Amino acid sequence: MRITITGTPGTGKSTVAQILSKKLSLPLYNLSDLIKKEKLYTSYDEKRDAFIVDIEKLKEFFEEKKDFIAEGLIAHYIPSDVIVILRAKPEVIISRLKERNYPQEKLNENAESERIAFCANEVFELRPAPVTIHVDTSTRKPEEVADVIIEGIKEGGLIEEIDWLED
Amino acid sequence: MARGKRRGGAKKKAKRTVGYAIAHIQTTFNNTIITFTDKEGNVLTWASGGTVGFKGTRKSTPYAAQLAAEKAAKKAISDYGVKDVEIWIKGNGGGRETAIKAIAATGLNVKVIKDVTPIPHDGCRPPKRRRV
Ligand SMILES: Nc1ncnc2c1ncn2[C@@H]1O[C@H](COP(=O)(O)OP(=O)(O)O)[C@@H](O)[C@H]1O
Ligand SMILES: [Mg+2]
Repeated sequence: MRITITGTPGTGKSTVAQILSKKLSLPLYNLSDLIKKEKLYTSYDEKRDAFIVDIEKLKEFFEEKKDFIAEGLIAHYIPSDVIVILRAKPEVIISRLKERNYPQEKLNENAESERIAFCANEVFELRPAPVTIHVDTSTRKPEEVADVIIEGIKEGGLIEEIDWLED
Repeated sequence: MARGKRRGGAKKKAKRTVGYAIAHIQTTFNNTIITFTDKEGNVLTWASGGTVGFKGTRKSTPYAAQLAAEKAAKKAISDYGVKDVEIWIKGNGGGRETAIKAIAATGLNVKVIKDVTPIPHDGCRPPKRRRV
């Protein structure tokens, strides 16, 4: 099975992906690491201190692979069997990212992209998988998030209604 | 931000005039919110798919975005005398185009439209997508 996990930094992708990888015995790819290691980028954004992902190269890397979990904020560009979108309240994003020592601007821009559901918008536009799982992690422990995802896969999909605009 | 309605002839507090405002549109796959501010960012009025009476998935329709944009724009005009606006838009939700059109259709003078969509990023970031 091919599972991709997308979401704003701080939604808990890496944490939950590690749990799922063990539970489901699937090899795990952290896309930020992979993109740097395999040079799957077109250029570098100085202002944001971030590599701009080469989507075509990223897709090529996974083309032949049939069993994996890939997690990262561009995971939804990879065709898969299950796409998981993790969400968290913007203020939760900021507090979870505190330990990374990101500049304030980087914290704010990530919180804002979560507010406007950047990754989720792209998923609902691209429809990269037959099964979609959209989960609020704000008040769930990583283990609970993993259980919700596994349950969602069994059910053939799970879309929670999440909207931070009117909070 | 609901304001209590006054009755019995209590005098309505006169609002200041803001000729030039910024209309911030935020769109997601499930809602649209339009906030009018002055140039300093002080909120004048706002409306969303929810405040124009929609619930659940119906908040995501272009029609909800249109009504919300109209509601906020009309209030900005009547309460603050707004004439000119800049539109700052965040997000790629379905209400994007309709909200812009609805603001322009109220007679406000749209001076600039800026895309200020924030981009999620850690050590990587997505490329800018071409919009059609
Ligand atoms: N469900 C959760 N509840 C509380 N804290 C979490 C949860 N998931 C992750 N975290 C914490 O938040 C921080 C960011 O999590 P991480 O998995 O690195 O997110 P991402 O990979 O999406 O950027 C870490 O400190 C992690 O321990
Ligand atoms: Mg991570």
